[in-house]
Amino acid sequence: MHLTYRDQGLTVLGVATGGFDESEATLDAFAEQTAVTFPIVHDSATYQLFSWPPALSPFPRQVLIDQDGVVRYLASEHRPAELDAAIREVLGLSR
Amino acid sequence: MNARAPRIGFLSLLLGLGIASSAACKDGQQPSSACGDRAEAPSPFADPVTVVDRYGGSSFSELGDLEVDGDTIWFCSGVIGLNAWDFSVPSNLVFLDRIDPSDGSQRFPRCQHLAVDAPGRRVYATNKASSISPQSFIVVVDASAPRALTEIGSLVLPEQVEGIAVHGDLLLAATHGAGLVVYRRGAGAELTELGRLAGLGNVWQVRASGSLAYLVDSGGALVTVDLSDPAAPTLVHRLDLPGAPKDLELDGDRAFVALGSAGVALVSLADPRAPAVVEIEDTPGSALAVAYGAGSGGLYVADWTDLRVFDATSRGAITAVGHEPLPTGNGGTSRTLGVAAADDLIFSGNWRELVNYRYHPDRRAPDLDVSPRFAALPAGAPGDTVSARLTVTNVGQEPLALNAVETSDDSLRVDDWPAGTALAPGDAVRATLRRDTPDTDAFKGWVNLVSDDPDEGRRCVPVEANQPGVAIGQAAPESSWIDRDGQSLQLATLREGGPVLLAYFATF
Repeated sequence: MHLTYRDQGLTVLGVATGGFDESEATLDAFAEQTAVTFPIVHDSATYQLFSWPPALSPFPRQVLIDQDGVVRYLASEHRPAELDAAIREVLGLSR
Repeated sequence: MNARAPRIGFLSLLLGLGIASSAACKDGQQPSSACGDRAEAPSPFADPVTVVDRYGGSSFSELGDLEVDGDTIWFCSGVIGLNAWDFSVPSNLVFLDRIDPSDGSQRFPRCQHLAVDAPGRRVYATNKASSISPQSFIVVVDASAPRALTEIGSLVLPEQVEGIAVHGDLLLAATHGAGLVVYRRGAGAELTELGRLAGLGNVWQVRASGSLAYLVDSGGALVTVDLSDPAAPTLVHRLDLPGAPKDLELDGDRAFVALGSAGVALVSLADPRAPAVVEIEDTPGSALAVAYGAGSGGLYVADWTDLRVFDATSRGAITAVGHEPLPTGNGGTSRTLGVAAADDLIFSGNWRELVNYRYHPDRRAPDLDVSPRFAALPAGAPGDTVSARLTVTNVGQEPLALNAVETSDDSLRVDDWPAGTALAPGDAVRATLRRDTPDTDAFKGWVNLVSDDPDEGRRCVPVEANQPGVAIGQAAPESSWIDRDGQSLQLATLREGGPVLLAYFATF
């Protein structure tokens, strides 16, 4: 998703909340194994602030914020098609 | 150890008879919004994918890799180790045994992948010491007595091992970092490394045919390796693929590859040393595993939260047949990580249960898929009308008759719903869910999309609005972070260039 829309202005941040006591080495290994192309940051605070749809697992969670700082998409599960549609809508791209 | 896990009775009976049951919100829906308790919505169609049996419970199981061996279904669980069940009577799955492999060091039994050596009555299972630890191990299990599984040895590895495959007297291991590792299988638990081929990226699965091995690299490739000399495997070919390939299955002169968010690929092995893409079918979720039922021609895909079925009888194409959302038991979204096949029998599971399905290739029916599955409406003040888009797609093989829409209360409505029309296979329709906000109270409701889908004649979409926390339509909290390179990042600055996606994750 990041590589697809990066040139059109999408920024992606991978956010590790530290909820499972992941070490720096663990995050390094994860980043290498999954070959992520976007920055990974630590943030245990903002996760608590969003109105997440109910889900069995606390992760993954996704928030899409537009240029005005408004939340445009909130998800408690990874659904690529829905996320792609939301990104395209925010970017003003046709479906 | 012959415990019988609790059976889910009534609903599975209805589903097993192919009756579209809509007496309550179908398993897989968000339980926090109670879906309407309505009468059945009968359909003239018979469901091409039916539930035969299921076993689940309240415990967290995290089903992963599965493999069929005769009348035994083996599966790995991230919590409860290696499991064996008998399906000689498909409608009556019988638990055989379970083993929590360890090397004696009190490691968490995170069984990840497995490979069955049927003639030798052994099962190999990979495990991880912890969530993403670089050290993992291969356990060898004596399966000569399926009701009394015995660990007979293990091999600790410095690399992280993913998929494994038994190929003659070889054991092939796909690893992160070390590429393909080739072992000679000796008597008992003996495993002798013969050779390896690095530089293949992060390979997640391996399969072999003749003197060739095929591996999938999540960086986007299908890799072909020559095993003529197992001590010196050599790279033959690399086929670029979209998405993040995670699994593959071979069927003679073709292969099926699970591509993650890019869907599933049909690959020609007409030239086995130069695979070529024939077709790619997108899936709404993330295709993590594939299995092929040779007798039925069914291609089965574990698509993150659903089981998806394709007709693969044509050598040159795969056609969507339908889908089954994996139930969650205790609610919430499920996670479908693996699938296995015995012709028309399909085995899959999620975090809480093993499900046995049957594919009926002689049945053709429509299949309603809706996005989003849970509608979180923007926050609204009294008097506001808030909305969200609903997209309904027919992922079946027959036209889908769209009938009425039912809502939990008068504040909800669905506009642009083409009641009385038929949606062709593969087509989608977009409607708008609206709510006239009466107050600031937290709201939970639902809409039922009524159609002639034989499995979900009333497809419930739970709806929430005005829940606590920052919701859609509201300002995100301004935040700042330090990335792993020490660079300061601020949301206000980042969004100057465009939208920002925060992807919260964990490494397990």
